[in-house]
Amino acid sequence: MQELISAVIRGVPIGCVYALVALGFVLTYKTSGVFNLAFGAQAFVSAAVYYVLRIRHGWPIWAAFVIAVVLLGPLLGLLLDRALFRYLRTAPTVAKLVTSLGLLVAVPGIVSLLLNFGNSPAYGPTGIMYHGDVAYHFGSYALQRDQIATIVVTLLAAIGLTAIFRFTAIGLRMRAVVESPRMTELAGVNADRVGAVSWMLSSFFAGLAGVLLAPLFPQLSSENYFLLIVAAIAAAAFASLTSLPMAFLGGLLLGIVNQILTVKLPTDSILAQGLRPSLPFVALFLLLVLWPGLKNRREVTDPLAGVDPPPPGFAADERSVALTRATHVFGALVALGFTWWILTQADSFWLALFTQAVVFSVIFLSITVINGMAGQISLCQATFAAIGALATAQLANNFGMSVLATMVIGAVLAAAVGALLALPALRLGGIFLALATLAFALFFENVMVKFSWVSGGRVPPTVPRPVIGSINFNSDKNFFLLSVVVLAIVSVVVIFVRSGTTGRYLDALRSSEVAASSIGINPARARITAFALSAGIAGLGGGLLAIQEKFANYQADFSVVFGLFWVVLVVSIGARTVEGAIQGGFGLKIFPELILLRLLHVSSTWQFIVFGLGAIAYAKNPEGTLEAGKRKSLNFIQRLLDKRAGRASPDDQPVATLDLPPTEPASAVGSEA
Amino acid sequence: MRIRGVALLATAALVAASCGNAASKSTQNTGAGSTVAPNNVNANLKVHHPITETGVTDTAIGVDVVASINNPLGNNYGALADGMTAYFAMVNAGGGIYGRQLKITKVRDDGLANNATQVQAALSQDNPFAVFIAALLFTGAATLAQANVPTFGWNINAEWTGPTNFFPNEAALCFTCAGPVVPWVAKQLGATKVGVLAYNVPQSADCLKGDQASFAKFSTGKIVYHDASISFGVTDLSAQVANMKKQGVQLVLTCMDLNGTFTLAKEMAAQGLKAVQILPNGYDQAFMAANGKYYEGSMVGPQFTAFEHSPQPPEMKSFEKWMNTTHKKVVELSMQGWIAANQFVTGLKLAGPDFNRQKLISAMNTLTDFTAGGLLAPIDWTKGHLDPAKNPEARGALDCGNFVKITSNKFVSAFAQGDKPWVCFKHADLQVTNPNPVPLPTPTNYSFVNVGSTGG
Repeated sequence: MQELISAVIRGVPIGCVYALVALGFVLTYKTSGVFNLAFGAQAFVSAAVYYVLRIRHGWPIWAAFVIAVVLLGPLLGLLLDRALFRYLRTAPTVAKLVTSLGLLVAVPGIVSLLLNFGNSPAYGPTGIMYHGDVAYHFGSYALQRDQIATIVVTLLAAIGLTAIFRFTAIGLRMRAVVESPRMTELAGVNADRVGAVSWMLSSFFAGLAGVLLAPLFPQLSSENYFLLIVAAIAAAAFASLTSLPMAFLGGLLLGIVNQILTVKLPTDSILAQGLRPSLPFVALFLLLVLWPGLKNRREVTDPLAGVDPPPPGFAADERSVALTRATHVFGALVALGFTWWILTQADSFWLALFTQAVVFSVIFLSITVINGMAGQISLCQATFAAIGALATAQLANNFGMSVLATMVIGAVLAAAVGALLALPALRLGGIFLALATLAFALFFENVMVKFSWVSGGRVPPTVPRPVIGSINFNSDKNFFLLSVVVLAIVSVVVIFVRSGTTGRYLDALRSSEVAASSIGINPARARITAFALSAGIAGLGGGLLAIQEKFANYQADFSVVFGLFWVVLVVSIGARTVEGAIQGGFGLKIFPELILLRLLHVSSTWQFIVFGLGAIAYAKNPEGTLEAGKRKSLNFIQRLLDKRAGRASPDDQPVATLDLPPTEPASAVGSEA
Repeated sequence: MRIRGVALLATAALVAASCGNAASKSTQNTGAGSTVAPNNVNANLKVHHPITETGVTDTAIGVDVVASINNPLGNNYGALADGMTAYFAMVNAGGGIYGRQLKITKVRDDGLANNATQVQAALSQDNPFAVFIAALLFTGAATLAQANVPTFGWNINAEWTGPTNFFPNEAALCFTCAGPVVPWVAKQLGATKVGVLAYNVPQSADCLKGDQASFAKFSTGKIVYHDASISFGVTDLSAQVANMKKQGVQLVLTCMDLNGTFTLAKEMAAQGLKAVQILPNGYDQAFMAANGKYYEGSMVGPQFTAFEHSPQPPEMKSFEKWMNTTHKKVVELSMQGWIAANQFVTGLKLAGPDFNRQKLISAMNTLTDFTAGGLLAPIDWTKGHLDPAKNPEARGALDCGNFVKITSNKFVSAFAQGDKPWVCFKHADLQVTNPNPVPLPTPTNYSFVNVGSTGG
């Protein structure tokens, strides 16, 4: 019993760390409707500036704190709101999530470049307490000053923020603006201003957390914050992303349960080695699936959302038949030209790179299916690809099976896992489904990958290239052609599914699940089909990648962060079309090498920044940059054609109009009203 | 330099970086005074033969560097090229080798997970004679092995084991082997109760197995507490420290990266656990200047002769002189670059004036005592490619370590005897095939300065 009490007491300090981050999540979600995965990046910005002022320039604590947290935090929040999030108030969850992921990728890179953290690492960050590592002893327990500061601030934040939302007008307005900015405007509230205040408050809190938690690490690094926020998501889910006191409690419970497991489970046991490191992710998944507070929970939707027009059709659908034919011919010629160049002119490096671009295009088609067709957000596509790759490698190595057969088996296995995952997860919607898939990906990474029968242990398993009859795919050119064939087949399957019954069911479900159900569509079956198909395609692509690389390396190709990056890339380019996935594949592999490194001669850090900024640009083009570009070029070409034909100005007769939710701040309407 | 990059990414490589720098080094020759100087090592370096070989022109021999430089983890291994630049400058100032200057054709940044891509780019576009690697994830290993390109670099990846054209700065690593050095250090510190903490990843778990095997074999102490279920990115080890305190642990072995050891060190200080940590890595002067107060009294075993030992071997003085001349920073990775370049030049000398890739590889594989002028414990490349866990004979003649102690935010020399910093055990005395436990033999201190051939 004494041991248990000790574990509970020892769990409080680390529990408060989780609670602090969870409060940040809930605060941002309550005040902006954004599940802000960039919270860690915002925390890093303030912590980095605090470090530079305090350690490099020797400023006193209070002065560094005022600049880095009190001023910079809200300023950053204001900037994010003005530049990005005010355009997204009524946008779908995926748009908000992708934008925050873009920030997560881009902001730390920019800050590290500006502050020269690459060449001069930020060693020895300090907190807001003088001699923060001095410990006070309470019986057999020790608490450092920094820990006490974290506990006190977390407690005060939980109480203070709860009071703001419960008892003040601004708290009520912030919640109201998240629910429906337009309805709030009708009540005379300036939603624009309230939204800005919300972001300033949450960004201040992120900065405060960043500085408070910096002494946990020997070096200031955005990755440290990322790990912490990932672990704290479970506490936020425990609070259903809405209750600040529950977030506080969730964080504490997480810390305490972890301590109890440390004390109670034998350190050699499989259970300890599997469960303890994955506790936050297992807890997150179980909470999402079983927690009554989240049961059948759908995100709060704007009551006025019904007046929004449906998503626009594809730009390509609005082209004339002649223009469509011309586009197809042009596209085919470009593809043939590229293929000819790759097969006859490119050296082995470019051949391999283009082959990988094709393979990643296959994997990215899985995002087209789950996001573009089913409208769901899955953050575990890299995991499905890993399942395909590892199954391909292990079956080929251990059972001597044909590698093409193992690739197909890997795809089927991934599809089965996808379907199984979909069963409990599909009752969740939007951000909660995204979190469930993220939890699954983290569980796979933290538990399954550790088993050598899964990942091969210290050295990744090798994968042979196939030989079919007289065609030996050890030849990179032959393998390139095989990859193109696989991409073509999968693309055709995706197009057929999209235009077939399942695709139409999914379209109907995206528009109105209730209406779709009323005409006999089974939402669960349609979505499980989409999930399984998507996972299967990812698994197939993963297997193909393993064969191309001749090894299946989880760390190098399939980690959770790569998976997040993929989603950001494909969604920001355009997840609704096959072209979007293909452009994503080529963007991932060719763009950094060709444009950044060879033409612009910038460091690979810029790769992350540019992709991050691309995702941020997506905030203003929620249909994806590809569709936006297509629409613009279509308008341009049509204008030219009209001009030649002597028709009226396209300004008077627009070929294609884009009726998206308002891209101007809703306050403009409100102020006129 | 090897500050941990905290991330879910690249966990394996990072922990390999932690554990790959184990205090015990297996070497293959008897060391003291035994020198293998193949015929060509004193070849006339002015002789210029026309050579048709990739990366070699009439005036230069070009090599590529593929290193992890810019990545989200903050692990920058680019200083490998700095040490190479300094070494090449020294050789070139002396007229080069075989009438040719040594040059780095290109430094390629593999970021985080683009090693295979950059290796392929290097081979197909830069045409280097040899490639130097310091990578978080060495995914280009198979390509280099298949192309039979002489490959040098920093051994923190399991992929270095096997291919006979790979010559890292340390022979094949053995995570699970029982070694005498750490039990000996425990004995020197008077520590009989040992704790071991490890992450739940294969590399780290293997490191724990190695520690357990070591203390089972040479029972100078007993592992009274261990935990192999710690998650990467841990920020709280209060329960583990409380347990170790309860068990009276005096020595803590960590199979973790610097973030883990930092969390541990702070918690040990807070709870008043007066135990010494042996860090598997952390030989980073800038890091210790900032965080050393938490590690007071802890020990680090660098892969090479530590900068702090005095007197320094002449090669160390050359290193510092040429790093200064080329305006490069003296850090762990730059020394690794210097050693890699030294090994490369040694191979060229052995290969002779009509060298080519295969001749260099073959010549290197006859080396039995490479020490980089006393910077390393001897490496025997006739056996050094083999996995010691599967081939006990590959463990060679000596088990060695050299140590520094952290005092007042700095490293100071430990266990050195005069100019002999390396503490070594003769493998023949270790009774590896006898059942546990066996008595710990008496070690001998070595300098290795005059051992083996060197390119310097």
